[in-house]
Formats: sequence, C-alpha cells, structure tokens
Amino acid sequence: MHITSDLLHRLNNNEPAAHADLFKAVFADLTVFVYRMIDNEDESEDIAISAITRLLGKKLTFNAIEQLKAYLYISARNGALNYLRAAQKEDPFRRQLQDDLPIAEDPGINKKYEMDHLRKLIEAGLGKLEKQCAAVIRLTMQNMQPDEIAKTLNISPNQVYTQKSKGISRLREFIEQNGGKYGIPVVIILLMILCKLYFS
Amino acid sequence: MKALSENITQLAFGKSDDVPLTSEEQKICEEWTSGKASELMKVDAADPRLLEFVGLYDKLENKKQEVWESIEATHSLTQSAQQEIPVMQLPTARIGKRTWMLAAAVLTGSIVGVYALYQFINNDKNSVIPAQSMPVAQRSIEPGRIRAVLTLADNSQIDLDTLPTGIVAYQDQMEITKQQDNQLVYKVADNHKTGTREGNNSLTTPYGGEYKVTLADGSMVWLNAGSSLKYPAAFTGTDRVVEITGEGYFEVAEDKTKPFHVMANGTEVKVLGTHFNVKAYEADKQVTTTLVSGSVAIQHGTLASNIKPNQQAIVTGDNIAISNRSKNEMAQVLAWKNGLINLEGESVTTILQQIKRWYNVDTQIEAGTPETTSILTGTVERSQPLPKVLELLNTNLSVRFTLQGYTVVAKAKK
Repeated sequence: MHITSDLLHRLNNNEPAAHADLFKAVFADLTVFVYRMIDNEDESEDIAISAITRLLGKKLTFNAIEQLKAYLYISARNGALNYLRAAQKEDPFRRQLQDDLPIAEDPGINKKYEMDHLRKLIEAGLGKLEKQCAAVIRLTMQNMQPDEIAKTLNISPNQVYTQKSKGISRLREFIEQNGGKYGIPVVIILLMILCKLYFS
Repeated sequence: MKALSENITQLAFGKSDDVPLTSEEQKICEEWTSGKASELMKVDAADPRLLEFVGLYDKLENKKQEVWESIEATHSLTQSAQQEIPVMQLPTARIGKRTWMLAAAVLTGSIVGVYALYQFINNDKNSVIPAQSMPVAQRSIEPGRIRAVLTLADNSQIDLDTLPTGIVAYQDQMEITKQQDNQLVYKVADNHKTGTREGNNSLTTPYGGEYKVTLADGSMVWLNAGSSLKYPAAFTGTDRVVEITGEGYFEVAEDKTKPFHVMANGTEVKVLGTHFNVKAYEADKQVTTTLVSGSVAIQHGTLASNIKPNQQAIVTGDNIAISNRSKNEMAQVLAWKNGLINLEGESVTTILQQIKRWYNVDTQIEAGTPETTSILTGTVERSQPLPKVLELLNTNLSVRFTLQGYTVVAKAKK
C-alpha cells in the first residue's frame, strides 16, 4: 500500500479526486490480503471495497499515513474474520500470530515482500525465463488449470507440469537474489531530492 | 509500538464512539500496534500460492479503474440524496471552523449562565426554607459511573476511581493494568516480575458504581453496582473458580480442560466457555442465571440442572426453576450491561432496587402500594439524572415515585 503524504493531505481536505487515488493505491493490496484469509475472490473484493468506501461519507482527519493504514488494515481484517466466523472457518493467520514473528527487518531471515514489490520481481524474473516456461507461468497466474494451459499452448500436460515447476523454482531463485534490488526507486528519489536541495 | 487513535478503530469496526471493543476487536488492534500486521500483509516468496496471489493482484490492478467508476456511480446516487453538494463545503472549510468556535463559545457561555442561575435559585431556596438536611453534609444525587475498589491478596485496597491508567500491581506473576477505558486487565507479566504469591483478589463496586475486568484466562466480567467478584490472580489449578455477590455478566474464555465455576450464595454455575448473566444480590434471596450462549450447569446442594441459551434458572431456597425467555426478555435482563435501566415487567420492588444501587439512595414503599406498576414499558438510560428517571416512572397509572431528601418513596396513586 503506497500512500503518499500528498494523498493524505488531499484526503484530509476532502478532495473528491483523492478518494479515487486512495482506492487505486490500496484496492489490490487489500483485496489480496483478504483473499489470502478467506479464499473467495468476490467476497474479498467486497470486503476491501467496503473498507475504503466507508471513508467516503466521513470527514475524518488522519494525522499520519500510519493511521490511515491502520484503519484499512483493521477494517479489512475485521471484515475477513467476520466472514470466517460466519462460514465457521479458522483464521489461517492464527498460527502465524501465535508463533513469534521475526519483526526484525533482517533480509537474511525475512523473505517476505509487499505485493507490488513481488509483482515487480516476478515480472522481471519472467523476462529471464525461456518463452514457453514464461508462458506457462503467465497462464497459471491467470488461474488457468494445467489441462487448459496444455490446450492453449498446444503442449502435453506433462510438459506443463515440468515447465511450471521449473519456472517456479527459477522465479524463487530470482527473488532470492534480487529481492532487495527493486526497492531502488526510493533510493533514487531520495538522492534526487538531496541533489535538488544541495544544488538549488 | 504503533499508536492507534480511538476514532479510527471505532470507524474501522463501524461502531459508535461509546461502544467498547470486544476482545476479538482488541486482538485485531493489538496485531496492528505490535507491528505484526505489516508482516501479515506481506507474502512469503516461498508461499506455495505465490503465483495465484500475484496473478490476482495483477488482475485487480488492471481492473481497479473500472471498479472505482462503478463505486463512484452508485455512491453519488445515494450521496446526493442525503448531503448538501460537497463542492459548496470545500471553500467554507475555514469559515466552518470559525462557526464551530463561535458555537462553542455561545454554548459555554450559556452553560455557565444556566449553571449560575441554577446555583442562585438553589441558594435562594436554601436560605428561605431551612432545609431539614442542613446538618448532613450536602451530597448531590448522581447516576452511577465506572468505579470500583480492588482488594489484593495481602488485603491492601486500591481505589481504581482515582488511580491513573497504567500498571496497578503485580500478583502471582500477573500484571494488573487499569486501561484507558477504565477496565482492569490481568495478563502474564512480560518480564515475570514476582509480585505477591497466590491468593485471591477481589473487585468491589459500591452503590453507584460499575466496572469491567478481564481475568487471567481472558474471561471478561462486567460487574454491576453494589457487587463483588472474588477470583485468583492466576488460574493455576485444574479449575477456574470465582465467587460473586451482586450481579455480573460473564464472557468466559473457552478452555475445555479448565471448567469455570461461578459460586453465588451457595449456588454453583459451571461452564466451559459461554456468555451469561448471574444476579445474586443478597436482598433478592435468590440466584438468577440467564444464559446468552453456550451451555451451563447449575448446581445447588444436591440439585443440578443444565440450561440452554435464552433460558433462565432461578434458585430460591432449595428449588431450581427453569424458564424460557423471549428475545425481549433477554434484552431486559442484560439492560444494565448496556447502560440501561429496565422498566418493563419489573415489580415496584425491583425497580426501586435498581434505583437504589445505581443512584445510591434509600428507598421506601408505603403501605397499600400495588406490587406492580400498571403499565411501564421500555428502558431508561442509566446516565440520566434521577429526577428525569422518576418523571418517566410516574407516567404509569398506579404508583407515584417521589424523591424526599435522599429517599425515593413509592406510594399508590389516587
């Protein structure tokens, strides 16, 4: 969820365009987060949408980006837990919460990434794969079943399996090696700001 | 630690400001404040469903414009009907603030004015009629509020009313804290500070007081006015046993290996994990258990029976009577917990008892007063001043309630 302080400022001023920008900044992240808990695409979208739209009518001032993120997290998580309770399912994050999560930002232990970062990593990693392998992975990401993929690409189901597992392991390797790299834009922006300050 | 502001949590849960958070909701807030939330939001590169998630993310990113347009369309349809045009509000933001301050100033002015006038009239009254209560120290009659006294294992007493929020004491490796929303919470001390060992704590509410406590096992108890709850600081044995006099609403944390027992005036309520209300004021000479969810077993001497949700067990003497309760009647039983005084279906005696405990006044029933009022319905907010409550009570046809000094007197209407 990338929320800039400029966006926050415009939201606090109740600018209509800011709501659209907020929605676009967080919709996919929130929906995937809910989806990982409840495993239902439509419901996940609904929960994420209602978390965001609940803000629209209200004139609430968030004094920090963290507060807005807290609001979104709590709304989405609560929506998901309510859904799970009604469906009498367990919270898949419960065990993870009980174990002590390593909060230390040590990249050696921590191989977790935010969704948009992962997406960029995978996009970059796909470029390094052979054509057929990348195609299998892309279709898998579109939620296609192996036999459909086999038909579409005109290859045998067996080939789909081998290409898929090869692709996944190559992508993992790629993420492991390059996990830190795609955070670079932030560094560049900071450098640019520094340069601007220094030379102006 | 990350901070959370209250209006944000209330909005996130879709609650109005004065409704407290449930334990589940508090857990969610803790996930955020402990920093675990941002870890949960991230996805492990080794997650077997990685591709599925990234694929979905991709799809959502591609269609978000479209989704937003449809939201905007429906939202503007509903919004224009109920709100003024938002464009008008934008440039007036600063003026709006000033109007607010002006309104606040006028309001403060008028409150001060009314108060002064009230004081003046009151003083006048006092000087004209030498009040019979002159020798008695002046005490105004106010509705009850959140207050209680905590008694620790070594019999030392702590007045929770005047205590600032924060850690109250350490007992049996448990840390006792008074939270900002004025409730007491027991939890295992992080650094295992050794406080006094073993022994019971007790929480006592005076007349005109109520309190909420979260026990060592996570069970929550709301204590009504004039009640007392005795419990161990930590539940170390095979059973969880607490003792109550007065009235309490229990939300017992589930633990099948450690049954939870509530002892009340010789009656024992045994549960595994449920929500229920126990009313055991000595003056009532009966113990009433009302079950909201789950299942509980009631035992009194050799008698025992189970009750189901929406049932009530009344133990009087050596008898257990079980009856079903309608949704309406359940709400009446739990009215106090929700900040209400129930009037419906109550006898004059029980109405007066509620008033006595909440407003800390004496009560008196004159001879010849009917046992029940003819027709009172609904509830009154407990935060209302007593005269207002009496005014409402007097809308009934058969009984008149009057305040004489510090005593509420009920007598038959002629």
